[in-house]
Amino acid sequence: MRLVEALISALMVAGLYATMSYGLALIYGVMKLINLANAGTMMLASFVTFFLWQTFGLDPLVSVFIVAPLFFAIGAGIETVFVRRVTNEKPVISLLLLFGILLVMQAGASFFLGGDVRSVRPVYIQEVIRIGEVTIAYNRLLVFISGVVILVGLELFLRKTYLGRAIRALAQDRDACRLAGIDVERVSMVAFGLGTALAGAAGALLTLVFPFDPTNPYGVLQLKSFTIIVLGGLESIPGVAIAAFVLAAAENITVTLSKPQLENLVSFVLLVVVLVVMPGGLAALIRRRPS
Amino acid sequence: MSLFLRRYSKRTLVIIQVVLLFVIAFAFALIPILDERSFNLQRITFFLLWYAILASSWNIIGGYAGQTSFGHAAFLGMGAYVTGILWSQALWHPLIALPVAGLVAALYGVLVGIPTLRLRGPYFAIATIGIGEATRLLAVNFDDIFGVTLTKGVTGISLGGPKMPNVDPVVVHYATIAVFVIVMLVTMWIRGGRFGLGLFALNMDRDAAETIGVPTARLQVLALAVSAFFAASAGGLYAMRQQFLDPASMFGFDKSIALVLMPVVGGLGTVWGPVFGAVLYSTVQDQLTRVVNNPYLPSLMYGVLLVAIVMFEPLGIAGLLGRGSKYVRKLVAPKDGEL
Repeated sequence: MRLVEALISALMVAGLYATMSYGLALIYGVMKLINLANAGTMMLASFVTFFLWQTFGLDPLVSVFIVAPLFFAIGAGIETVFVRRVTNEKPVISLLLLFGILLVMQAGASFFLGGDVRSVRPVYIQEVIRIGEVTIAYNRLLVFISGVVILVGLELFLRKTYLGRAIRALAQDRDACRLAGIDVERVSMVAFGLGTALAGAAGALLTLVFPFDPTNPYGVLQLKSFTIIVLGGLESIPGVAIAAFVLAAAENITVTLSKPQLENLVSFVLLVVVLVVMPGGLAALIRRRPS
Repeated sequence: MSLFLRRYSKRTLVIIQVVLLFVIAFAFALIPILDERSFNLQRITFFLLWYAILASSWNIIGGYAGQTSFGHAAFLGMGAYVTGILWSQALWHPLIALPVAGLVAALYGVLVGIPTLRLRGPYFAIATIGIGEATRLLAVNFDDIFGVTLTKGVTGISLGGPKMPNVDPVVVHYATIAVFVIVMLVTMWIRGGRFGLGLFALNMDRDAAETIGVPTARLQVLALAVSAFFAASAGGLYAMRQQFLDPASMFGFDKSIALVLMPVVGGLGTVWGPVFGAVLYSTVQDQLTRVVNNPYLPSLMYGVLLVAIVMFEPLGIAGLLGRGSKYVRKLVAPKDGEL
């Protein structure tokens, strides 16, 4: 019974981890750049959600539908104004640019809105669901379900629509896309906007589970999402979902068998092990493609 | 003839820079001799040079080797802690402990670099975020995890009690100047020598560099080791001067951020850029926080500055200074291969 409970708990956490990593994987896939501003975006989205909840009493699950389009626009704007100009530079430059944007988001939010830790607490926040002897926290279940919905929706979008296919084509070969007549600039903009919108959605949902701190936006969680995308093979959306579960399970096992202080070290150890053993991540392991 | 002239001018430039370096070092060295009670000036000098050492050390891996490290505080903190622990528990003289701490951090850099620098893409940058955080967590929880009292967790370690070998503040002052001179000479040597040429080549085009036989991965790992060595030396100097260490101030992510900012703002991949960045950074830390009461203003400013530099002047302050005259540009912001 304890095993079942541990597995379910890991699954819930995995849903949360996956939600915050989708955007990162999408942007890396298309533009081959690590969106360091991801956590900053999530934090800003949490702020918007917080204000919507405070002033209009909107539930974060409803706010998602306002936050995601808003952050799509913000992301598309960032891509057009900043990121586009450095895509042809050395990789250091784009990393530094996004790092600068992260700093502006983080320090700007702390400067103008204050550095206090805030949390959104709807009425159901402490409720749990009991199935037999297993208890599941209601808020975590909601985030998990949202994570699954986003995964399915994103996969459908990427496979069934023209724009989704163009995004996947761009992830494979930028030059070939140009030859095939795909508007590379526009698709890049959409992809970056979509990645930012996903980060925004994650930020809105995460307020249900964690209080957020503008001075250190989702600190360790940021590292965890990097581990997840490396483990997931950097570009694959289902890879992210699986990797999120692997990380959550590994953390759960470590905490059960050893000391809770080690929980946050797991993601780093996993990151290094993956880099040494299978740099292509789980996706490459499944595909077994010769590198 | 023209070849001869070019060579000559290159050598002259190096000589000018070395002379400049020694003049600066000499001026700083005079401070405690001219006024024995100039404690405030010595403090300002220490932090100025300390930041310059850190910025130059980051520049070796971030500027020359082109691999961004977001976790350099790990090496800084490791140097500080190894120095501190050897000093307080093994009762070594800290001046002997300092290079040992540097070597330990360099070894740590090699261990981290081998798996991550061998791969292309952003793996190193991602891994360093993890390294910074994991090393901080280790320093905080070391005593709990391994059951040995070593880092004393968040309480931190106090150094320089009556039982430990004594270090005069003036000795720390001279040691800081010495490390500064060494790190500057090393970066000049890297910039001008074969090692730096290899790094530049792989930074520009890794495939081409590998084709002509540059051992790209090995050079990058070596650059990381040298970089870690000097970052850790700065940590050791901090331990000697402040005589108190805690994980938040030594391993904190704000330190890692500062380490990225200074060389980038000053001038990525140039010899003097990191020094300019350090001057700006330490002045801002010293003055702005005194004038404005909001602790977040400097970070906001640096963020905007970082974005602006990346967009408009990738060589930072050095590049701006170099716009004035050709000779200044050759001195502070030479093009690749000019020096």
